[in-house]
Amino acid sequence: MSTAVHVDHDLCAGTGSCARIYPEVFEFGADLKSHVRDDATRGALDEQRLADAMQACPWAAISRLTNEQASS
Amino acid sequence: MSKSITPLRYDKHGVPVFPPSLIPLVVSDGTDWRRQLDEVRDAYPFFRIDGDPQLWVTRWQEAREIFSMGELFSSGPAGFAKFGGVVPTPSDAQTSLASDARHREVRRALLPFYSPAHVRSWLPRMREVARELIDRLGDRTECDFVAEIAQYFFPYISAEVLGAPRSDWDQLVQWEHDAFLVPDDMTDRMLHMTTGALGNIFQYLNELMETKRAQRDDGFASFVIGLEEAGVLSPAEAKGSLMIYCLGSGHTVTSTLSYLFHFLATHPAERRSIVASPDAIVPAAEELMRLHSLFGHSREVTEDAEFHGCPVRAGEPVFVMYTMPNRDPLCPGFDTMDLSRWPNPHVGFNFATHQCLGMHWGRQSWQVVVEEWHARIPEYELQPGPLVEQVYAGVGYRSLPLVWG
Repeated sequence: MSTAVHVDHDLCAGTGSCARIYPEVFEFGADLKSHVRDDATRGALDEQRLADAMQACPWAAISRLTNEQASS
Repeated sequence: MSKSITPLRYDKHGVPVFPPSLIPLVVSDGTDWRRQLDEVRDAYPFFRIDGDPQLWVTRWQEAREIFSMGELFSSGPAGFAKFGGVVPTPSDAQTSLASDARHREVRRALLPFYSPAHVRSWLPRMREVARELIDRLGDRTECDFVAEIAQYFFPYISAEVLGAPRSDWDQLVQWEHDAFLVPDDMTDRMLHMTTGALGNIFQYLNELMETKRAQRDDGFASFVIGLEEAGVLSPAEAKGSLMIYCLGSGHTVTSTLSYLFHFLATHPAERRSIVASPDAIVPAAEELMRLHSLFGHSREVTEDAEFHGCPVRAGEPVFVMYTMPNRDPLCPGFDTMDLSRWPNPHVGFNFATHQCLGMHWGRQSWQVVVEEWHARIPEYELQPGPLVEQVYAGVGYRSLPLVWG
């Protein structure tokens, strides 16, 4: 999972918008930035909630990686 | 609680109502008004000011929730109208930016000019501008840091990024400064900005947009026009974006620099430590911003509800004065000053959907001004005497006399 969704930590400002929408995927680290949870699995992704979480980020910090990007 | 900040009465929900004197417009006698507000916050999560329709929210957790819960606490149209309502902004700007969803879309479109990477690309030019301002001091051994450095630095940068001709910069600086001055004849307690200055900025931006339509450049005004022509922004959103860009540039960095340099001038040991380690500058500045925050922002309640035990009514304005939640000891660690605190979970940049777009510009400005100033003037003091500090609207010291040499 950690390779399928990416949080750009240069952009993430820790507003928590993503974690409020999709806490099964996004969580806060000690750096007060959003991180993709280790236990989130690609197969279990709710695409609508992921899209909502991405759209809710005020800094557009979340991106969905292509299969090629995820495997590289 | 001090006698001077005893509530006049309580409203029907038990919310204390304080006299307007609780929050002065301007102080010049060293009154520690933030300490008074600390007492109010520690005693009450909400309060009212007599004659002011707003419900004031005092604590960190509640403030974060208000800024996060756009469905219940809308930023507009009241919030947007309050920010620029005296300007003849077309009504669709007031409504289209009202919803958080649309606001995020507008933000996303504007992000290329606010991203950390873009801000970093301006670092060399920001250093040049800082050095030019410091060079103006020549061989002098004193200056008014606010009136000669802080008031110009970021507004100059902002004007250049905007694409404004150099010949217009000083006029823009003056209008942006005037817009946040508390008028001497201000009688109510709402956030106002001087109508004349706002109108002048708005008219200037209209004219600048026409100029840029005819001849594009790589500045922010041309960028926004491109978004408008592509249908990404409505014409009103384009104008509103430029207006907020100018207003957000006008007093914010000026204010934080005034508090930062007041601290550095009066704490030489900490100053030397901070300046010796470039990585220490932004965390220290941000902690001082937490303790000496900008004014605040309002929201409008969208439906009748209960919020942390307090009934709120549809249409009711609520206001967060940033300094209150930012000093709330209920946020772990906020009861002490920690100049190395990082990350710093304050809400001085607002929070969530409306978090300050210019945040990275502000941080880089602190870094640049501190580094460039101390490269030239490492040792200095605050000239003794009373300081005038504005509490409403453009919070900060109006003047900061420094001496050296």
